[in-house]
Amino acid sequence: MSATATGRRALPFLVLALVAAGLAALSAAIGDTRLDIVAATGDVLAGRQTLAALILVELRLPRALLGLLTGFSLGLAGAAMQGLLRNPLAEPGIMGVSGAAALGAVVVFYSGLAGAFALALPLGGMAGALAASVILHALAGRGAGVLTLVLAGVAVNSLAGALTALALNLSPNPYAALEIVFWLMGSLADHSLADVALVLAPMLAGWLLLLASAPALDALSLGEDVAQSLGFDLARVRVRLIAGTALAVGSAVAVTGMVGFVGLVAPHLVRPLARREPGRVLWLAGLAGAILTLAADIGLRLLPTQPELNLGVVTAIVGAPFLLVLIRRSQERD
Amino acid sequence: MRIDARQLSVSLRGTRILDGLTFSLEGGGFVGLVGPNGAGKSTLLRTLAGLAAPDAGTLLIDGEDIAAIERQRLARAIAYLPQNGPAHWGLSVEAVARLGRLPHRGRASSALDAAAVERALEAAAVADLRHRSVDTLSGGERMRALLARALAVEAPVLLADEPVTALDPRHQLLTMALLRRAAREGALVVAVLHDLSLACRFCDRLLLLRAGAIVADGPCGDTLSDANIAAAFGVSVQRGSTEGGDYILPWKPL
Amino acid sequence: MAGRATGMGRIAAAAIALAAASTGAAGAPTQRIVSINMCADALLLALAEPAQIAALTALSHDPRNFSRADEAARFPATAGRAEDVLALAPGLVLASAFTAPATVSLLRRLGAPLRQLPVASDFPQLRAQMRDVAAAIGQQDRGEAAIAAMDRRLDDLARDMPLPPLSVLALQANNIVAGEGTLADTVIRAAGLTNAAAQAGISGYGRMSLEAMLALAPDVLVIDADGDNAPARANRLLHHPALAALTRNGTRAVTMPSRLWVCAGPDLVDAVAHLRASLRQEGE
Repeated sequence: MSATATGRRALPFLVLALVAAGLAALSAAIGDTRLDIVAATGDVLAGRQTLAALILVELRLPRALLGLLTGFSLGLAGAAMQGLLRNPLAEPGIMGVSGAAALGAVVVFYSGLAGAFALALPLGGMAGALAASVILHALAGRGAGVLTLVLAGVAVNSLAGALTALALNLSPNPYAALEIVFWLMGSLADHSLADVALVLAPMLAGWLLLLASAPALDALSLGEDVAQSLGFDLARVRVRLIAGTALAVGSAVAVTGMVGFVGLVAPHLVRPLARREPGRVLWLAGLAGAILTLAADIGLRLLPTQPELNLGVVTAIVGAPFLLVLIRRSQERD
Repeated sequence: MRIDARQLSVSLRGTRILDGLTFSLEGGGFVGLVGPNGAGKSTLLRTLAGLAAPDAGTLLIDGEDIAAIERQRLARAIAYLPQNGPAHWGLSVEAVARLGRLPHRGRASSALDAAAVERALEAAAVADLRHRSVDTLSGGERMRALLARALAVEAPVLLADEPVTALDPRHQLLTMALLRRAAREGALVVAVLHDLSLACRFCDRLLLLRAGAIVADGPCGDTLSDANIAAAFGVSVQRGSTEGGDYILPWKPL
Repeated sequence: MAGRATGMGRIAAAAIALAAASTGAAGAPTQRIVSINMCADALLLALAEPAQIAALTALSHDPRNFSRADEAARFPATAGRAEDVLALAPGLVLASAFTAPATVSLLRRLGAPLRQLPVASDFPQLRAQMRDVAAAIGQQDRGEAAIAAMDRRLDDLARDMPLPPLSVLALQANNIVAGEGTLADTVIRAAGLTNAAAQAGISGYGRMSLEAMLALAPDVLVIDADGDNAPARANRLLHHPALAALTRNGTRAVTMPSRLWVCAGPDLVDAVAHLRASLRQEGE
C-alpha cells in the first residue's frame, strides 16, 4: 500500500485520538473549584505540594483517565460484540454483560472481599461479565437470531438488577440501599489513582484480546462457514472475544458502575469512517467511546444540578433515543 | 493438489448424510457434483472444505489427513464458496474481494494482495462495481462479488456450492467458462450444479450423488446416462447436439 | 392481650397514666416506661430510676451504636413495634419525631400514653428537653442535677487549656458534611472551634464534593465513622488519597465515633471532650 494510502487510513485514527486527548485535558480543567490548570501542572512538574497540584493529581487526573479508559473499553467491547453477532444493536449494556458485571462487583464489595484484597473488585466484575458473555455466546452459537439474543439480554439484565438490589438489601451497611444508584447509573466522581491502577492491567489485557480479533471479525462478515474456510478457529475467536469483553467491561464496571449505551453509539458513529469494516471499527470505536464518555462527564459537570448527575443518566438520555432511531432505521431497511 | 476420500461417512445431528464415499480428485480438473435435492452434495462440499468432520473414513489432502492440517494452511489450499452466503455490513465489492486474502495474512505483501484482488475482480466481471456496496447489488451481481472473494484466495482448490444458480444466462455461461479456465490453469474446481447441460458442457468429470452415495463417477456421457438420470432424478430427458457440445433437457417426470 | 380491657377501658387507663405522669411532683414517678428511640434510651438511663424502666430499644444494646450499652443491657429490649410495646402495658412510651408514623399513630389509636420528643440540636434545646422528660417521668430533681453536672463539665472543658479557634470540617460518608445547626456544629462550637462547613454557607447536613472540601483547607478534619465499617461505597471517600494528602499538608485528622454525637443527650459532652482531647494529642 502506498504511503498516502496508509496515511489516509491512519487519518481518522489520529483525529479521534487527538479529540480524545483534548477532551481528557478539558475534563481535567473542569471541576467544582476554580483551578488554574496551567499553574497546577507547573506545580506538579516542579514537585510543589500545593493545593492546586493536589486537586489536579488526586481528583481531576483520575477522573479524566478513568473517562478515557472506561470509555475506550466500552466502545471497543461494543464494536467487538457487534462484529461477532453481526448486528449493530449489540452492546454490553443491552446484552446484559454490564449488568452482570455490576452484580459481580456488588457481591464482592459488600461481602467485604474487596476490603481484604483490592484486586477482588475488578475480578468480581470480570466474573459477572464472563458469566453473561458465556450465556450469550452459547445462545448465539446455537444459531439464535438477534431477537433471541436481545431478549436473553433483557432477561440477564433483569436478573442481575434484581440480584444486585437483593445483595444491597442484605448488606449490613445502612447506606447500601442508596448505593444501588451508583451501581446502576455509574459515576466517575471521586475516584483515585489507586482505582486507575487497579483496572489498568485487566483493561489493557482485554483490549489486546479484542483488538487481536480484528481479522476474524472481518472474515465473519461473510458468515461462519466462510470465516472458518478463511482459516479462523471460531471457537478460539469466541473465547478471545468473551475473555476480552469480560476483562475490559468487567473491570470498568467494577470501578465506575454501569454506564450504558456507549458501546452502542460509538461503533455506529465511526462505522462510516472505517468504511464499515468490522476490524477497522474496533480501534475507532474505542476512541469514540472515550470521546463520548468524556464529553458526557464534562457535560454533567457543567449542568447546574446539585448533586451532579450520574454518568449513566446522561449516556442513557442520549443513547436510548439513538437506539430507537437505529431500530426504526433497521426496520425501514427490512 | 490431490484429494483422496476412502469410505467417507458424514452425519449431521444424528442423521447419516454421506455413506462410505470413495473417490479421488486431482488438480487441473473441473468436477461437477450433481444429484437430486437432499443427496448430500452440499454436505460433501463442506466436508471437503474442512467445515464438517467425517465420523468414519479418511479424507486426505495431498496425502495428509485433513484434520491434521493447520487451519490457515488449509485455508490457503482450499477456497470455499457457500450457497446464498451472507455479506454483512454492506461492504464494498472490493472490500469483500479483499477478504479472500485473509488466509495469506502475514505471508503476502500488500502488493501481491492487491494484484490478486484485481485479478479476481476482473475474472468475476465485477471490477466496474468495485466501490458499490454489496447490499445494493442484484442477486447475480452479489453472487459474482462473492465469487471474486473466493477467487482472490488463489487457492489450488476451489469448492463452489451452486455458483451459477442465481445468475442470468449470460453470466452463467461466463462464470462456467471462468471456472473451467481456472481448472485449465491447474486448479481443482469442484462445483455443485443443478443445470445438467452446463454440467455436461463445462465439466471434465461428474460425480452423481444420490441418497448419500456416489452412483456414478466419470465423464458426462457415462454419468448422465438415461438410466442414471431416471434413477437419480426421476425424470426423462431430451438430448441434443450442436457445434458447442451436447445438451440435456429434463423433459418429463417419471 | 385477649384478657385486656376493651377500648374504653384502655383510654381510661391511658388518661390516668398521663395524668399521673404530668403531675410529677404531686404523684408517684411514672412506672413501666418504654422507650422506642435510641436517643430517648440515653435520656432515660440518665434521668430515670432503673425500676421505672420497662424496656429500651434493641439498638442501645449494641456498643457500636450506643455509649452506655452495658447499662442498657440490663433492661429488656423491644424491636420498637406497636405489639411489642403494648404487650408491656406501658405507663409511658417515649418516641422521637422521626419514629415511624405508622407505629406512632397505631400506638396512639390503641390508647398507649405516648410522648414524641422533638430533635434537640443545641445545648439550650437539650437542657429544655432534659427538663421536659424529667418532668414527664416524675424526676425533676434528677433532671436538674443532670443538667447541672453537664454544664459543669462544659465549663471545665472550656477553662482547661483553651484551644485556638481552629476551623473544623466534620465529614461523614457519602460526602455529607455537618453545617450550621447540626449536633456536630454544636459540639464543635462548644469545643471553642469554628465550623468550616457552616462558614462555607452550609446549613444542616449538606453534600460537598471532595474538591470543594480540599479547597476549604480546614485545620481539622473530623471523620464521623462507625466503629465497625461494613463495606460501603459511602466510606470510600474517607480513604481517598486526596484526604490523606490534606493531612500530609498540615490538616489534622481526628476520628469521632458516631455514637458519641448521634444523640442529643447528657453524654453529648463526651463528644466535646473527645474532640478537645484528640486535638491536644495531635501535639501543639
